[in-house]
Amino acid sequence: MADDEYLTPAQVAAELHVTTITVRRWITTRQLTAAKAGPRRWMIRRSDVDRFLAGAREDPAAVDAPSEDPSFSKQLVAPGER
Amino acid sequence: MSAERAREQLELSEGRWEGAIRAHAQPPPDAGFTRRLRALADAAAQEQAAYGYATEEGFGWRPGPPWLPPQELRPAPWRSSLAPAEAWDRFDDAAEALSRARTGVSVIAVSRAFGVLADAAHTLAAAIDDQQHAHRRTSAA
Repeated sequence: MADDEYLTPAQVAAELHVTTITVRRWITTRQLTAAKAGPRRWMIRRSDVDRFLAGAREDPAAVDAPSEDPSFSKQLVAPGER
Repeated sequence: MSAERAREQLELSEGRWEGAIRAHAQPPPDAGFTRRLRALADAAAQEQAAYGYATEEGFGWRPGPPWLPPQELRPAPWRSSLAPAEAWDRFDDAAEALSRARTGVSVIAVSRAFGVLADAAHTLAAAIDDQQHAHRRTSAA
């Protein structure tokens, strides 16, 4: 099944046109779910990449009331702030 | 591109995006609707690029509230007189995806959602123009 496919950080990086450093940062900041497969080795499920790209959060029930405020940048977290 | 430069890009693109959204505050649409729609599409494309830079610079995303489009862009009975349902559906789906991305956890999802919305808004504007041209041809015949 496609959802059970495992990808390396390099494969995810290639698909999303980012560096492997960025993918590892997503993993260490818990934005992207990954499994540890050994020292300095991560494996990422295809379904977790899809969930990450859809922007899905861990707890969908904790969504706030809809807002007309068009500002999105308030949600940004600068590098090092996390 | 540095994190500071990414911030600057975001300030510029966000200002343009907010202005484009404010222009759609009041229904029903007037003669300037497609112009406003294309301005929104261009602003969304700039947002896509700015959030793409933010991704590369290591910015994270704190989940926010779902986004509610302005009045003029919400489903309404007059829509069918302007463009086929498929074009509106595609636009609504893109707006919904952007809203979902704001509640999520990844900057790249937000960037992509802005890109999809930009495409959908351009397509919708073209569909409205096509339908208006067809009406004019029918009226003139």
